[in-house]
Amino acid sequence: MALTYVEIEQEKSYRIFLLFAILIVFYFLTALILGYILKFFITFRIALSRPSLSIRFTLTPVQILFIFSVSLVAAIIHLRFSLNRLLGKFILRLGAKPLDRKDRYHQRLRNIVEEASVAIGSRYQIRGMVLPTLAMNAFALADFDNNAIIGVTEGLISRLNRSQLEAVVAHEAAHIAQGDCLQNTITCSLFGVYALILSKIRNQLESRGRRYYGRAGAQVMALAVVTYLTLSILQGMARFIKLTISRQREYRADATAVRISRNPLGLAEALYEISRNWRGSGDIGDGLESLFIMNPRANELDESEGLWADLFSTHPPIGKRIKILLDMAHSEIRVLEEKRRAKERLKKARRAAKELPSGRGSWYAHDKEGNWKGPYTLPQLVALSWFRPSSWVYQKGKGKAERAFRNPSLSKMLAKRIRGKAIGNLRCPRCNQCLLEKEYEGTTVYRCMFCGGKFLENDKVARILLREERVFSERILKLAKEMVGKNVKRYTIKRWKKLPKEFPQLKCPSCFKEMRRTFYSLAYPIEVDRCYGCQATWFDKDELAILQCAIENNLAGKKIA
Amino acid sequence: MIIYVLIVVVILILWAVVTYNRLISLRAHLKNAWAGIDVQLKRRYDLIPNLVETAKGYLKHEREVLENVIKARSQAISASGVQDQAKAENFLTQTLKSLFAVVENYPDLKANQNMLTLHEELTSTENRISFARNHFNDWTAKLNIAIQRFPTRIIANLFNFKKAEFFEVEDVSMRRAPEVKF
Repeated sequence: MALTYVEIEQEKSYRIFLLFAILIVFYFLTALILGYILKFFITFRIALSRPSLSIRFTLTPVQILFIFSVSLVAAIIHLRFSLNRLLGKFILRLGAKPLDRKDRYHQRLRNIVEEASVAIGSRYQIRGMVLPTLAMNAFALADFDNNAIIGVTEGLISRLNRSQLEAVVAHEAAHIAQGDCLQNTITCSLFGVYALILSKIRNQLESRGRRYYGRAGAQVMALAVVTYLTLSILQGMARFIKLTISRQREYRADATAVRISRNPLGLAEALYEISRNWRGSGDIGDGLESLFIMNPRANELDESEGLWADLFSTHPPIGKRIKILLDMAHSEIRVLEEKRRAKERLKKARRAAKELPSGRGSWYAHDKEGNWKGPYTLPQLVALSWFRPSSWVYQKGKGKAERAFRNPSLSKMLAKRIRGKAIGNLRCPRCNQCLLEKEYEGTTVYRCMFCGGKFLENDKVARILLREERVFSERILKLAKEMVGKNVKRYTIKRWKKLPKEFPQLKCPSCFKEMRRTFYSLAYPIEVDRCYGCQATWFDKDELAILQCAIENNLAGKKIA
Repeated sequence: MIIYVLIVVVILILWAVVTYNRLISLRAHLKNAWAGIDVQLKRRYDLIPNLVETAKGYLKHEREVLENVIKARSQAISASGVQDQAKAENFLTQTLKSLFAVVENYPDLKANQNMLTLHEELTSTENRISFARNHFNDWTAKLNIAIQRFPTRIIANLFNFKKAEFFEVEDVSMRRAPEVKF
């Protein structure tokens, strides 16, 4: 292996040239097959109308030359289009987003990516990006101008600790430094296009096919079918190009990642975590699997050994990868499993600890109807939806009742809430008070200090749902179970038709459109208010916690029903 | 006869030029690698005042630790030359380590938002320094090998190329053999 990463540059251009040659051959072969079919039909027709002529199905050299020049032009056009704005197109297709500067977890990823780019030398300009999905996976992209991108899903950013994330980023940086990332990106760009177009045509045929009637409809259909068939041939051949993406490079990148991060255990743990979770199958587009650290689609071929699998799969068996890394760290898979169980136990213990203080409140407060309510603890009191700084409060054993803001400890608690940055034009849809920018699970949310509701932009929801800093009480867990169970029954019986009308329709704080009360998703049927104008979500008090709790403890709808 | 001699002389001169150029480019790479370290060191110097400012309010009884950090920082800033710089940086790393060990005892400080951010930034910087150091040492080794090898050595001596110093980690705890207790 080369002494520094700067030296790893050889044979890169050679491999890419090879790819171009293969591309031209592909087009030529496809065009040749099409040419033969066309010729066959034409000759056949002529033969039918004028049986006296002699029939020749072969192509003349001039025709072959014509086909070759057509395929050459097609290949060049294809090349130009796929290499133009290479990274931008991938970013769009994968839905990757730039990192959020205000987000602590994102800041950590940004730092780690910068560390990795220091580690592999200054040749590449590496940028960190994030995929806003709950899946756990990571990918790398590179182009000819030495720009590179390391993308990590929100799932990975939030669920892995620093050393594990370092190892994953080091693995991706190793791909970039070794040059196989560039080759991979180009291959995917050249041959991944077909899968995309194919699936679009398929969708069109399935959904709109029946709408076309008459002769024009038949022609459109015929054209679509022919295109579909041609592309299918091309895609079938593109499968072979995957031969050049050998699974060996994953082993090599693992080894280099260990060289960079000096932490084989971190990478082993990260791979173990990724393999235990959803890796994004269905969410991540066709034909891009080879970009990722682990195949989003778990399949048998990847897990098998032998010549066949070595030739045709893009990723090596997960078990073997982890085992190699664990051997380096003098550890065993048993240790990882034990660690996972310990984490579960810790979560349970933290939940139990959270339960303790709630029963011991001594505060009473005067509600709107003029009744004394209580007892509450201080945090509970302040979180009450009807509680205002001007409410009357009374502490057991202290004698006199007083206004909340007159009490030093209460006013301090209230002040603490106001200290956040007030966002002038965002107002709580329930209380019509200013929303405050608050730190929550490492990112910022807009929170109403009076009703405790939270307003989240669309891309922040996934982040928060993944992160596990917050500990939830048994009450929340119980609520979550109950709600999921109840709502699953409701939507399976009534099929979404009528959600309860008794809730007033809320106005979206940012675009003032009416929000709709819906379930977060069919798997996690917790009611939330979603704005279909700006895709933001309003969570009433506890709704976010319940949803987080449901996801953290895997209370998916089906299991409970 | 003269033609042969001329050919040999020309070849020798060509070799000398190529070798000289190689040494020059190695030295430039080394300088570049040092600049890479320097950037990261500056980054660390900039973070420390913030760190001290944040910790000051909480660590009223641990003045000494904070003063050590400040002292180490100013020493590191004024250091010159690879060896001195390395020594000063190692001292600074030590004091920072002891500061974070003390912070462990103050849960309030540990959970402070500022502190969390600063801790992350410092960790990142430490990692970057170590990666940049690897890079620098790789180039140092290359240059030193080139200078000491036989035919190249002549050119190196002729044009006064000097051996470069390594940026070494002087961590006492790393050197000492682990104690065994029964």
